[in-house]
Parts: sequence; structure tokens; C-alpha cells
Amino acid sequence: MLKSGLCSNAKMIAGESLSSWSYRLCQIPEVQQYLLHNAGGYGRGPRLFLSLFEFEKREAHCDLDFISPDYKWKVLPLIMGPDLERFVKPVNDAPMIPWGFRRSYCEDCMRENLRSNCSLMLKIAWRYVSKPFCEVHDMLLKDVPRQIGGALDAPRAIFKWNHSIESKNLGHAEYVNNWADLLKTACRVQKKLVKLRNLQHDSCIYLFDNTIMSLMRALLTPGMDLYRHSGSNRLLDIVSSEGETLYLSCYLQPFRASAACRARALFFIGILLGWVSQKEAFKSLRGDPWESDTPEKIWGSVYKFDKELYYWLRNSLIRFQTSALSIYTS
Amino acid sequence: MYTYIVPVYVTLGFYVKVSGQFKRQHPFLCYVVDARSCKIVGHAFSVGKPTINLYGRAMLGVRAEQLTHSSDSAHSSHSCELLRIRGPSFVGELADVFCDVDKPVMISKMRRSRNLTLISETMLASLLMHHIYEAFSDIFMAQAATMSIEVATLNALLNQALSRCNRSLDDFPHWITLS
Repeated sequence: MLKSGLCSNAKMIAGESLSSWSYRLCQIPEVQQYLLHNAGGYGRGPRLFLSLFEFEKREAHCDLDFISPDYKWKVLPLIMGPDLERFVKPVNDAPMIPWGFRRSYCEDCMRENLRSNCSLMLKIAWRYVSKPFCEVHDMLLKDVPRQIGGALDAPRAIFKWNHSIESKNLGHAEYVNNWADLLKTACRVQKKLVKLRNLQHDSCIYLFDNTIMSLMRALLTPGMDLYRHSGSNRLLDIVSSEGETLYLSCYLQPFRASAACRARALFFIGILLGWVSQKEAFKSLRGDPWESDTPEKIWGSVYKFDKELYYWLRNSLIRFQTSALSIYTS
Repeated sequence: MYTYIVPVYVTLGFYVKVSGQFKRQHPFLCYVVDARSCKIVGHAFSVGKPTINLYGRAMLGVRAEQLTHSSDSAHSSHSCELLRIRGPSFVGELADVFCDVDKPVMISKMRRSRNLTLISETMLASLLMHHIYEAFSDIFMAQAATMSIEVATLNALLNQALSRCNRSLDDFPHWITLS
């Protein structure tokens, strides 16, 4: 193994994603020299020096934050050593936003890391669909446009964009202030869901995840009353393609929606699960009498939007029902 | 040996890219399900309106697999013959395709004796749709530019969805069985 551990910048930070760590590693002169010396032996070109993963980007459907157990590229283990084994994707992992769509970040986490390690990084926890809040700071994650999140040096590009005028124009701070109560409740729901999921047996996790995803799919369908809300026009969603069908939108939208919209969906899931009282929901929705603050109103809203969608959701919830989550259905 | 085979027809809501006059067509699928084990044993698909009997094509694959995997050729041909006799008979050779809808449609056109019905076709089709769209969303998000896919990609998607569906039926067989 290459002794890159001598350099403080090369150390893996807890919770860091593999793509972020590998890019940081490649900035170290010793690693670059090592690659320069050994690249010819593996038939790779000089492009290796930009990123360890750049050649893999040519392959479709790859997630650069994880390695497959049968990976054949020999450079990675030589540089990263046994730490690499930590990045094998677990079987029962929570639903995750695809690598190409990653764009959420916590500004405070990035800043703290910049102070302590003199480098920027992306955490893997920011890619989970059901975690729109930072687990360390309890803050709503921010979003960047897709092309910035997909950059080779994504942490640096994101941090740079965070201080740009375009970022300020999105009005993230204003949105967080306006919906402070709702976001606080949604954060509580997220913590409860994470805690409950950790207690589940392996066989129940599949049902648990699919129940949450089915609800999120229905609640995040574009065009629904629950999805449209004050300030949503400023949030960065990845737009749907032309001629997309309803079912496709249902399955893709949880991965495309911004962290703010996912947080709002979590809030309504909290109401359906009975974790948010009507009084609290009414207060969180700023006392708007037209908003859905009870389970009956939420189901009514889904039914009114599309009956087919309602019955599809009902079938899914019946199929994936688990004792851990009791959903109010009447 | 399969004793009772049930076909399930599905029309998907997205397009498949093909060359020719009609460049974008809805895929039309035919799954054949073993009603005893609740497993999907084969499938065939057509891009646009099928011009052949898809059920026959799917069964051809199943029979070919049986012949390949059986060491005793006499026995395997015997089982194939049984399969042909006891399989369901169709009302029409060609199924209708409803492409003018923007949602998946489940079609089942077949005549069979009701007392042999062991599975809920609606739940099975719903489960299939779930796995197809879940697999499709994985592939689609990698492309993320259009809702049309290539034929080869669709084939890979269907195989992936089929294996996922069979795996989940292993764990939860009660999902599609009639109580």
C-alpha cells in the first residue's frame, strides 16, 4: 500500500463518500507520482491523474461512491488499502439518490471540514432519499444545479456555487425561516424513522423502505396540491422529461426532488403515521385552513388528484405493510 | 415440470426506440407464470403491436430451457408434451394493444377453468409493474435525458425486473396468492 497516510489531507473523514476521498487523494503529489509510475502497467492513460475514477465515468450506470465486491481495477486497493472494503454497498441499504443526481450538501459540515482538514468533502449521508436534514446540524440540506453536483471536483464546485449570486437568489434562508416549524417537525420525523429503521430485522427493512418510498412517490408527484407550496418555485428540482407518464414521474420524483420537497413529504408522512398531532400540523402549516393537516385530508388530496394513483398507493401499502409502521388509512 | 401456466400481459407507458417508420413504440410484454410456485418462468416482448403470438414465443423459451437443462431427452420431451396439453388455450392469437393511454395497462385475454386459478393476476401485475418501473428508474436516471430507451436496454431491464420479482416472491409468496 502506498504510504499516503503520512499526509493529513489523505485521511478518510468519517462518513465521507468514496468519490470525494479518491479525488482528494489524487491531489497529493506522492499519489500522482505513484499513478504516473504504475498507470502504464494497467493499460490506463494519463487521464488517471485527474481522478482515480475518471475512466469509470465512461461506463453507464456506475455509482462512484461504492465499489462492487468483484472490482478488477488493481490501483484502488494499492493506494487506499483495507479502508476500501468499507465502501462495498450494504445489501439492505436505504434508498439512495443516484450518483448522477447527487447535489445536496450541508454548508456547515463543509465549512467545518475546511477549517479542520483544509479540504472539502461530500458525505454519503447526503444522498439518502429519506434524510433531507443534516444529521449533525439538524439543518435542511441545500441543493445545487445538477451539472455542478456532477462535476469531477464536486465538493469544490459546490462550495464555490454556494457563495455565488445564483445561490443567494434561490432564497434558501428565506424559505427555512418561513417554514421553520414545518422543517423542525419534519426533522423530528426523519430522526424517528432512522431510529425505527435501525431497530428492524433484515427481513422487515425491505418492507419498511418500500412503505416509505411508496408514500414519498405519491406525495412528491408533480401537480399535486401537497407538492405545490409557497416558495416551491424557487427550489431546485430536476425537471421531468417531455411526455413523461404519471407512473414514471412517481418512481423518479423522490430522487429528483429537492431536499426541501423531500422534507415536506416527510412532514406529511409524519401526519399519516400519527407522529404529528393535528394541532402541531396546523401550526406548522402556518394556520392555513386549505392545507392538509389531517390524514383524511391527505388521502382526499391524493384521491382528488388521481384515482388510479390512489388505488396504486393503496395496493402498494397493503403489499408492503409492516408492523413497525401503522398508517392511518380510514 | 409446470402443471399450470398463466400468462400476464402488460403494456408499458414509456417508449422504445426502433428504426423504421414508427420510431417510437410502446413495449408490449407477455409474462408466463407458474401458478403453483407463483414464479415467473419466462417472458417475451414486442415493440408496438405484436405480429406474432407472444405467449407462444414465451413458452418456446420455457420449453427450450427445459430441454437444455434436462439430461434425459425422452423425459423432457414428455414433459413438454404435457405442458402443451394442459396449458391454457387462448381466445385470440393476437392480443389487443392500447397504446393511446399514458399509464400501463394490464390485459389478460384467456379462457381457462376457474377452479384452477391460484393467483391474483391483479396483484401479480401490480408487483411486476413495481419491479419494472423500479428497474427502469435505475436505468433512466443514468441517462436522464429522455424517456425512450433502446431495445437492448429494455431486454436487460426486463430480465432484471424478472429476477427481482422472483426473489421477492420467494420471500413473500402470499402477495399474489388468493386466500
